[in-house]
Amino acid sequence: MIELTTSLAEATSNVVRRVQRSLVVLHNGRQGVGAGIIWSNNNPNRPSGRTLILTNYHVIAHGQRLRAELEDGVEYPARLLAQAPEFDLALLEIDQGDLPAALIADSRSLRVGELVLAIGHPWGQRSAVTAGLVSGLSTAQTRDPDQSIEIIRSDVRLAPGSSGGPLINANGAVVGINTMILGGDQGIAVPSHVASAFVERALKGH
Amino acid sequence: MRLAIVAPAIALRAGLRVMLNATSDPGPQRDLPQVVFEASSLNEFTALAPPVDILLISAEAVTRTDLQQVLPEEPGRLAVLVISDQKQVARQLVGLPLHGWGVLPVEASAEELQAAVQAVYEGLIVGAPALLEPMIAQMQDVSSLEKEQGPASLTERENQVLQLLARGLPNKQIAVQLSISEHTVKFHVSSIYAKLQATNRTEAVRKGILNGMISL
Repeated sequence: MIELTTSLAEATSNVVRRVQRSLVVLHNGRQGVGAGIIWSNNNPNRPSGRTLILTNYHVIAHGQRLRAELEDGVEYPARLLAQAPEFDLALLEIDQGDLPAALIADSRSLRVGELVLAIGHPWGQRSAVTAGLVSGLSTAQTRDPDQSIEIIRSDVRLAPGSSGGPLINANGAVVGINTMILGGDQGIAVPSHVASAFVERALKGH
Repeated sequence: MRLAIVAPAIALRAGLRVMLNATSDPGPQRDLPQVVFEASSLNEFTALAPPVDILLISAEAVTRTDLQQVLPEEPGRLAVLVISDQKQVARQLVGLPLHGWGVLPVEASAEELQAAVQAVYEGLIVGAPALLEPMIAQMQDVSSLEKEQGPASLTERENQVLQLLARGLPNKQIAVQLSISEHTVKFHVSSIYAKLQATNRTEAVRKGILNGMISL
């Protein structure tokens, strides 16, 4: 029993450690910070020496002079490539290559009751981790009447500064983008497959 | 009651819908809100929405001018509840010909949201005190008048007890919160029942909401 607990704890800690390397702090020129995720770039036509960062639209909205701070504390100016206010997503780019992208899971296989972890900068605390369970998936109608998506609800604790950070599964792969806290106790995340589709669309336009 | 949700972010719309439906005890007389329409902007709402009783809208989607344009021709038909963390929002709603209106922060619990929806549906003004602060200053003259004339005005302590009743706390916890004995709590509760002509806690809270005594 003790061994199991120890290995479980170690496994969680390793998973968190790996994701933290793909987490950035976003400064938007105003007060407060948000989180961003280093996003994989599968498009061979994209120039090297650049890195994609995904975050929430509301983190960068109305912001000026966006800056992304990496784990080692080095800051880079960030450019806005695309935004989707409806999904509360934004894609940024920095001029620095060879950064570790987060693993992305297909959120469509997510189940209620699954263990999830949230990593972000709640109240400005760097790379803080909270854990919880998926408490529900809610269908949400998009503006396109034929399309609906599932929004992830969980009991992970979020706070201002968590926004734009990853919700990850037990394998350390991103299943959602932490977006808001509702009702005091519901963490709301936009599913990763919606984020992936957004990034794909955005890169086609560039 | 028919309700429309207007918010740019799809996640907020989905979350609000969940909170509106999250009921443990619907109660016998309550008319539960039905979400009949969702939109990302007031323009879409104007163009496509069926008639609704209540508009639940996020602060990013609302301006006074836009609201004036969506109001039905017959005044007092529509109630508006805004989800916002900003104090200025309340000002945009003052004086519009609305049935009822309110402002709630995003952190509001499901119970608070449902109570606020119920209250604006009943034609009341509701809101988190911090968000209504700029207006409460202006309204103080009126409220002191009402207090003198109101047949059921509660003492300060009774009012505190009523707020905690509304949060669903049992007497024991109310006693702890207010640092008084459980016996004293019972005394205040029965006095509240008498003044509000209520026979149980639910009824007292309901009448408290109807009389605008409960701040959410």
